[in-house]
Amino acid sequence: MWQAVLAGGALFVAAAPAGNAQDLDVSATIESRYAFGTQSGNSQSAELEFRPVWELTLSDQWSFQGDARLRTDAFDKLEVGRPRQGVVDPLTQRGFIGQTTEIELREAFFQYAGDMTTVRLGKQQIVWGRADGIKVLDIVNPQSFREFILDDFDQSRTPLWSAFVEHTAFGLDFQGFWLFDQTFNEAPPSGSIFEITAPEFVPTFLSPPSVPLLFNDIERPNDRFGDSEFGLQVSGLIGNWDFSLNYLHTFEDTPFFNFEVLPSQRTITPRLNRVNVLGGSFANSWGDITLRGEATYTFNEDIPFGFQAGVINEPVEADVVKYVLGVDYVGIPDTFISAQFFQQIKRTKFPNALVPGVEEFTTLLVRHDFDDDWMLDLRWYANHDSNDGLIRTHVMHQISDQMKASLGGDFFYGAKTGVFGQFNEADRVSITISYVY
Amino acid sequence: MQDQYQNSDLNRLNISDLVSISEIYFRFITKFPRVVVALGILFIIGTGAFIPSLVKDTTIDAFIDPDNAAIQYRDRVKELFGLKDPIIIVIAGEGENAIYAPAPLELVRELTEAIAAMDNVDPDKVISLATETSIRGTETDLFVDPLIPEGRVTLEMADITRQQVTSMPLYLGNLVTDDGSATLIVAEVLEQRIAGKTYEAILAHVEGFAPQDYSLHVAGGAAVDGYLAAYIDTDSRILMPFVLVIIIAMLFVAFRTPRSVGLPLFIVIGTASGTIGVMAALGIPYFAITSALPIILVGISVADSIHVLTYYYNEQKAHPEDSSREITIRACSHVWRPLVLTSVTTAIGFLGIAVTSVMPPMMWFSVFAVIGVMTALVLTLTVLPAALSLCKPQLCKAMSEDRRGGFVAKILDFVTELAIDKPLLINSAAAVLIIIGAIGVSNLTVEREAINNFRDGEPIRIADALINERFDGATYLDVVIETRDEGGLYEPETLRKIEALQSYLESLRIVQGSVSIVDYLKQLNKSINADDQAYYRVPDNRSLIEQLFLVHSATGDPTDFEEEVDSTFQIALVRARMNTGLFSEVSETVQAVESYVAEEFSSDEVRATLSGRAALDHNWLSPLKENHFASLGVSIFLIWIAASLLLRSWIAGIITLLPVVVAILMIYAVMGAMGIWLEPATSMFAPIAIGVGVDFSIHTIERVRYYTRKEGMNFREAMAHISTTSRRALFYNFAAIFFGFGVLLTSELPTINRFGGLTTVALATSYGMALIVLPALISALGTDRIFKPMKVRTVATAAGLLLAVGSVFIVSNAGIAQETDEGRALGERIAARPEAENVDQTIEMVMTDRRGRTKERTARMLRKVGEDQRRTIIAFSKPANIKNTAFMTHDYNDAAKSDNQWLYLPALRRSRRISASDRGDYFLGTDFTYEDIKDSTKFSLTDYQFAVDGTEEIEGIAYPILSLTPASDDVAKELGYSKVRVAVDEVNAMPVRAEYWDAAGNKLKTISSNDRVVVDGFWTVNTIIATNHKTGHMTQFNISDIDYSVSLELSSFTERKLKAGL
Repeated sequence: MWQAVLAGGALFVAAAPAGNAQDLDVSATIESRYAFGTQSGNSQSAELEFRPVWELTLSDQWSFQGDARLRTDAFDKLEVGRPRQGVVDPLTQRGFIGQTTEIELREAFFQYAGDMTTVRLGKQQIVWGRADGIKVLDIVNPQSFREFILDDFDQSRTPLWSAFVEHTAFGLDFQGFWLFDQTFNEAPPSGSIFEITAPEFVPTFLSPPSVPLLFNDIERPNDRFGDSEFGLQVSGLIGNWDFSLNYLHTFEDTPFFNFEVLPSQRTITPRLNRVNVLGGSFANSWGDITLRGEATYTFNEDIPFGFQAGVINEPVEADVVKYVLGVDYVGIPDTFISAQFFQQIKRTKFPNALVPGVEEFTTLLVRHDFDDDWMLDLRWYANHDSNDGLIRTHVMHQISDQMKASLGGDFFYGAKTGVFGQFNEADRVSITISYVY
Repeated sequence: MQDQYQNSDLNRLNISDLVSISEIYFRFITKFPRVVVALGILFIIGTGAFIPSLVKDTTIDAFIDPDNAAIQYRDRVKELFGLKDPIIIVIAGEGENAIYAPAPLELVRELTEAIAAMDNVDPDKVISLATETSIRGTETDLFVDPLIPEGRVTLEMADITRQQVTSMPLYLGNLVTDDGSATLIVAEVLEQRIAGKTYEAILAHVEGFAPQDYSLHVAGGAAVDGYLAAYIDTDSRILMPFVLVIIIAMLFVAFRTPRSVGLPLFIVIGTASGTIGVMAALGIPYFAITSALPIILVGISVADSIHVLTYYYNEQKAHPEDSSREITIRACSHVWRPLVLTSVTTAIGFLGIAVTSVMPPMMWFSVFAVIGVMTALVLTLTVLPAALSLCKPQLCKAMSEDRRGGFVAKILDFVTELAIDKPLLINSAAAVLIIIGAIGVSNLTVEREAINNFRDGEPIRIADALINERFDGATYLDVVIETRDEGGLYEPETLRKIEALQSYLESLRIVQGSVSIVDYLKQLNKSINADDQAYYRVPDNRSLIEQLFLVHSATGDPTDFEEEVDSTFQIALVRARMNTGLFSEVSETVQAVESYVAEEFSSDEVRATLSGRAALDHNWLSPLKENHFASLGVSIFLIWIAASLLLRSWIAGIITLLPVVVAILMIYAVMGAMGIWLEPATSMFAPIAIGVGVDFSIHTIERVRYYTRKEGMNFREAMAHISTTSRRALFYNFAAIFFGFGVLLTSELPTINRFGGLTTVALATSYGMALIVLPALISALGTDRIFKPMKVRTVATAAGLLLAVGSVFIVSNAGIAQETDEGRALGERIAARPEAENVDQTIEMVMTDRRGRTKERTARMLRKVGEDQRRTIIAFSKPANIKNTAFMTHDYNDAAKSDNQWLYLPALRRSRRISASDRGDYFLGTDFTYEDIKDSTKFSLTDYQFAVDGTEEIEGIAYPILSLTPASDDVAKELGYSKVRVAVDEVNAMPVRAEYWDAAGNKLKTISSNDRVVVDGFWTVNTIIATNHKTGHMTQFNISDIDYSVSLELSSFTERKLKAGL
């Protein structure tokens, strides 16, 4: 509740004419988006967002920055009803006005930006990794899947209350952070357009249970300090190679489902799995080509598997290796082409696992700029194991420095059990207009 | 024979293995048909998205290599004297002195003003009686008066004008006819590319303007070239739909099923989109000659589809119970080989043209023909089978009817039987044709006259004829006279040399007149001596000459002579006019003048170089004949090698080529006999005929080889079998291409007509030869001899040859380096100019587009200069939509070490490593490239060669001009510049103004460094303005809050700092 008050205060300040009032710099984005479901033949959403951003300069190095979001949707199909936010820390929860309007304090932090050191205290996003659209290292902040992966990550990534420090020494950047905000991936409620139904993300039974199932609320970590998370990163340039080495002590942001057999019922309780992640990334460029990649090794990651009704289904864990390799090509004028290959390998095989031992997919992005004001963006995500995927097309016109309009289409294909195919009927075209001041 | 074939080293991988591999491939393709089709659609959208950005360059100058000395000199003439190709407006009356009357003189004045105000007309370069002056004098005074006075012109005033004009010989024949019956208005265009539109605008303006008894005409080099360009453009846009209609009709007639029209059309669209899209994406202009490319692409892609569909329907008929997928797999497994063979040989044929062509448009035409052929092949072997497998099996009634013996089938049967039964007769006839063709080649004439591209009766043609008849002519030859020192043109001896040159020029048959500074000097000398004709000569005294010009500058317009001499009197231009543009005559004249100047202007004191339209035409057209045959020869040779390799037989390679070689020789004979000139447009028929026509032979021979070697048939049986499969497809293949090119016969342009006619006849002859001569040859030689396999060593040698020739194209040439010690020294001075180790400054960027709309950005820049590198961060603070976007670069002094760049985008919350080769790309919407930003008013000593190129005055101060040439083609491509000219302030080694030319040699942009001040002991520029001449866009950087005393650490310039913001 108090967040909503803070956010409301921010919105009030932002609604004032933008500019530099003393050391306060305020700007805001007003965005309107309409999406029409091409398969369903119905409107999916008609949203209006107001996103103020502020920076209060306190001194040469210190500032207080943040942003908020007020969002309303005429159709209430993306998050049907008022979401319970069970996976969201009370410190981070959004405030709702009715079922269709929400207000959220997105980020609010104090920043110290010295010549060799950066410190940020407050609610913020911490982003690791070098991949586009694929999260291998970018797992510090959880995500809202309100629109699956269709929303910009900047908007769908959930900022967390944390303390962040980064210092440059010996030509390297040393980073450490502490997260005491227990917020995890947020899935849209049942009945929503992008409700997640793929077996690997929901409780799946190989044989239907004969007794009623009770779904419990998620068991969230409740020790703010004992269950806090932290991460370390060393990054820099060796020769011409960008690199980073990462360590994260965290919870998996997607809950696993604990199936318990009680005398007269079966219960499913979402729980969160503590993991340790080692990772790294690299990038280099030659001529028109940039090569980048990142990888993680997660110890004891939860493996989703199909439940069998009559037996005890203990959670299954395995070490998992994930990596992505990306190549960017800019040899064609005004054009950016990027291809990525992702693979996830589970070190131990399990029967009834809902995901293959080796999972692969590729992404392809082609972006072309016309005359500085028009941009065409085409993306293709393809999952090779379940033969499903997503094709996104997007045309953007920068009408002026403040205003832009875009027309886009998102088309899913493949079996309904696939990560993308599960949204086979959520194909949509959308038009967005935004104004920044 | 079968054993020999099977035991051959070449057959370790048997055909049966290839067939099974191909089956696996097509099985895979048809397993994911929707994905493949979707990818095809994506390909079309993706490549088609680039097409709107296609740049057109349909000017004639595009045919000349930008490195050609003639065009470089022509550009220099443009720079020095401001002369470009003009549009000429003729006002013609009947009878002597018709022009010296109030109405026509007022009309000249009115039109001059109106034309000067038009778009794309250089208002300072409109010349007519209304802008020129008379120079006359008395014993005591010199008068420089306008030829047409202000206000209403009376009869008396008109007579005065007549007297003034006739007293100045330099105007006669030039601006006014000798008999005073007509006058010219000469208007120079700013942008040659849109000269056609300017011509049309002027034509529309003058319509109905002429007073009674007078006529108005519009012509001139810019008009001819521009109008021709626009004409070709419009023509091709009108003709293309017709081509498509014909193709659709052909496909429907051939198969009579909807899929047989829809699917090939999809392949056609994909091929065209892929080829033209790639052309646009690579920034390669669409040249005039490229108009023929879409027709070729349509023809080739349709041909491939026809073959696949033919086999598909045959399989479907043979196995009606099978699924569409199985039918598709089998059909494609059988037809892929000839498709690959024809595509590869066609591509290699065009590659040969590309390698040897000296004209950029022809080279690019051939390159994109290769791309188009291979794109069509890939689409035909991926998307087409995928799409076919999704369709329900359907009978093709058209093929069934043909099989029962339609008229066409009967004709083809008869011809084939005749060829097989009477090989001696047919081959002898072919030999006779070859001899006739060879003789005919010797009659071939290389000729060109630009105006010949228009039909008789076209206004531009009438105007051109009038100018050539009544004036000195519409074609000009420039001679640039360069003296060693400034003021060298004041020397009487030099001026007399120029006078003698003019006399020599005017003695040549087609040169009707010439103008130079000497004419003006003689007029001045005469005028200052009370108009005494005896003084119409070059004074003997240098001081007198200088004084004469000084006196003129005091009384007349100081820019009066800017088209004849530069401001320092070091370089002069002699312009001779010719009354014909016929290449042979122009070329002969140019050669004569070249010999003359080589002899008379060979000293260090004064040199002469030819330029202008006549010299250009001579330069680029002279090698046409040799180059044409060389290109053809290379192309034929490469196709022979490729066909021999693929068919594994030298003899098969030869007989593959014979039909198309015969066809081309026949066409040459026809051209020679009918007096059709070999010029750039008509010469294109040959590579097209080779590239496309050879397909007919390859299909036939490949199938004969397959049926005789694999199936064990004899030749007659094989031909009978072919008639039920390939022959029908070949016929419709030929018909599609034939009628496609035939559409060109409906073009309004005579050139396109001729090209279309020659190409269609060549294709028809190729097809006919393949139909008749090929079977006759095979019948005469026998399949055993023809298909005797080559040894592995021979194959390896041939393959090596092919690769070696092909690699010639791939290896880029080093740029022609031009450097002098003086230039290098100045370049080093600039590079060594002291700069602050630490920089903190604010940059306000104002970007203005051609419509006057502005965008403003504010950024802060930090820079640290280390021992071996420089690190810079630029972070934007305004406007809000790019706030905190930041760019970081680590630039190493060691050229061998590549620089590193990152871009931080707030929306991504992370930084992204970007390619340093983007250095030629524009920095975030400005007119400065990444390299411009990085170099900060210096120029890389390793990227450029430096030479000093005279001096230039800017705002009253003379600055040395440093000419920079990229050190290699690769560097030129990376930077996006082919040339830079920098006016350098010698006091502080700062560039005052830098002019850039793009890779194609067009003036690209100018960067001016204004408001140069000393801040904390360092020379600093406060305002930098970049003006892009191509786009009309301008960027101004206003630099403020400069702090050189800030303390920065090199090591702090990491991604952390980039993300944290400044």
